[in-house]
Amino acid sequence: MQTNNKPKPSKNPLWLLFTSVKFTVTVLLLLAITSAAGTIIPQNGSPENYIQAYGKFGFTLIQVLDLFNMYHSWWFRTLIGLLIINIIICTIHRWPTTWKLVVSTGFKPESLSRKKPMQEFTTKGTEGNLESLYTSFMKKQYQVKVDTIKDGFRIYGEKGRWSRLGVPIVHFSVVLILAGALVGSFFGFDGYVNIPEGGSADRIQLRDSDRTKALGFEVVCKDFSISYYDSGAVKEYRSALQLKEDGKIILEKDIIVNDPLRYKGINFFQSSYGSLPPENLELKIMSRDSKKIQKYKTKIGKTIELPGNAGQFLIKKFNRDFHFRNVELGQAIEGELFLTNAKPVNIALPFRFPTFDKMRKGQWVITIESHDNRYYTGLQVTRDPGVFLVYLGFILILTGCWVVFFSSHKKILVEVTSSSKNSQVKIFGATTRNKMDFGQQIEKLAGSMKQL
Amino acid sequence: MNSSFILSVTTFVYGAAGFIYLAVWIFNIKSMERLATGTVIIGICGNIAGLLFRWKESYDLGIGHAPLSNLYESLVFFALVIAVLYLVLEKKYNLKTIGAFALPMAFISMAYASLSPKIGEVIQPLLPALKSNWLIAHVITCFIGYAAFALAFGIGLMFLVTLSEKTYHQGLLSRVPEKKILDELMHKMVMFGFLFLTGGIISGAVWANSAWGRYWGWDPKETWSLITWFIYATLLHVRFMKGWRGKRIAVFTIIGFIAVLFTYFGVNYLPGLHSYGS
Repeated sequence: MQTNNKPKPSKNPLWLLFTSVKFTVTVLLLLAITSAAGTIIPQNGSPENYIQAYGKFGFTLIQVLDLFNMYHSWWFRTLIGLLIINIIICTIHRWPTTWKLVVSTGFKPESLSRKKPMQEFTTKGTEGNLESLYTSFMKKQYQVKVDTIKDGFRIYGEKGRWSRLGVPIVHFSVVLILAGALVGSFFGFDGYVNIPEGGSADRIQLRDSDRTKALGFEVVCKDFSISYYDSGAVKEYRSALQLKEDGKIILEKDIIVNDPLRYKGINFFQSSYGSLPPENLELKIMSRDSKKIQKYKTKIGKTIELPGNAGQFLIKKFNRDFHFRNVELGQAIEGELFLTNAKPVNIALPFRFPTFDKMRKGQWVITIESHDNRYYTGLQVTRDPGVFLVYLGFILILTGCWVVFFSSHKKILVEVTSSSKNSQVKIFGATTRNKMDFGQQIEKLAGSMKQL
Repeated sequence: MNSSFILSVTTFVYGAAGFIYLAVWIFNIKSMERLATGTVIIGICGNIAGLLFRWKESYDLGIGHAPLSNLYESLVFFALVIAVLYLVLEKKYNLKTIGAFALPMAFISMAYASLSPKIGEVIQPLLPALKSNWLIAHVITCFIGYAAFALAFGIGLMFLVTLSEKTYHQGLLSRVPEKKILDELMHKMVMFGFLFLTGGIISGAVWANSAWGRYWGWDPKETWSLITWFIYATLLHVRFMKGWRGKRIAVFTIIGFIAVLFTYFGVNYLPGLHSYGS
């Protein structure tokens, strides 16, 4: 920092490079520019999209440079690595000097008194009484030493020496955070699992790979529910989860977004949901001629006998995303109607439009009377043993920044020379940061000293 | 009385304050200095009252939450922090001219919030992802940081404007603080902003970890906040280590603030998880 005691420059060119500010600035700006590029080029898209957007050549370039997953590419990691080496080497390089400044007790008044005094005034008091008066006053704020000079004395005060540790703390925290990230990427995992209501899972699908991972215990989703505000916006997604080990229930918890379940270092987050085929269906079949209605309780895959042996209706499947003439109608049941002496007819029964089948103008009208809503819950499952280091780094970096920005190493020298009538007081000072505030403080100090 | 009304009035109070500061500076009307400061204080009171009313109104609607949940509310809060930070600077260093740069920014932020057709003023219920105690910590730290950078930008602008003028000691420019003081103030605001930006990124990371199971995911907003952090980190390094002062730092504060604005607004045009910020 701004100090005269700079560490000696080394002769090793590599060491010189890593300790130069130019290098730090270059790496920081390169990281900024490349990170920005990654927000403009969509990440993790499909090859077709890239070819369409950037052409064949562009796609090849993107592929060679890993630009579609650039934050995990070799060159981006190299940049981060260079930043870390830079920080570590700079810290090692500066440490002896910094530490000496923190622990040193020696004082060199000459380094201060060579400069222009920050405040000057004359006072009527004489050397003898001023010395004890000023010393006890300075002692309130500073660590003080007094010695005598020709025709007077001088008081040397110092404080905030430890604030010089702020910078190394900030730099160390950056390394700590990235070390935590590294630990997480080696020993942690990130995956997901979809569990139907009433169902369970003991393996999860890992993200960015085809592999699955055994959890060592079983996760049961007892219930999934969505609640809404009056406006129709979603208020809450909630999954009632249960953990079982060897068939025994060990933990039960409802999770919502922002309130995950944690067990043995593994975290379960509410991340998505989806609908499942209904378990139980109630269908209504009406004959157009007789207007007679018959109700059936049934399930998917079953066949219904129509009244009067007119034929059969096979409930084939559940379609999550049914389209009719290019219009999206959402969830629907699809089936096939077999009438005697007629060709089989495909029939769709969208949940949202119960009377949809009337439009077909057939002999039999089939409608859904009721169905149950079943969901699966989508859980994000992670384990990150590096989080502890990262959070420690977070606390340290904030502490360090606070120290760096709001405290400083202040040195002050009050020189008093007396003649027979009065005394001349000169105040010198130096600070590592916040010179303007320091100037104000010295001014105030001088003001109070005049009053003494 | 409702919050919208109070906040619209506040917008004009800030506008008036900016105008008075400009007048004080340009025409050197010393007698209006106190009026300018008084107007800012009225603006701040209105701003705080507006936010408190809005908070209460959200509870009356049965969807109570702190008024820091969408773009409109963040802009209103942004204006408040700019005005308060400016007032602290004015009191501490007894400098009036900076108000001519600071208050217009508070005014623009408020005016943009209420006039832009894209920004909904209606109090909305919180989305599930926003229901967290981290919301308040995250928004407050981020916007204190942004506001400090806004002031650094204003002072930087002032520095560059006065730089281009040759007749430094006459007229208008004689009432601008000394370059050394402007430089110190820029640096102070950048350091203050950097601390809070760091706090904002960290609170966001901790929140993301409790909502999505990851503290960092290279979402565009996260990435841009980090880019902003890199830029100001560079500024601090060239100032501390290379002794850069004045003009170059002023240029840096402008580049940095462009990054802040992009993090704040531009990112909404890129796809990502922060889209509820728009």
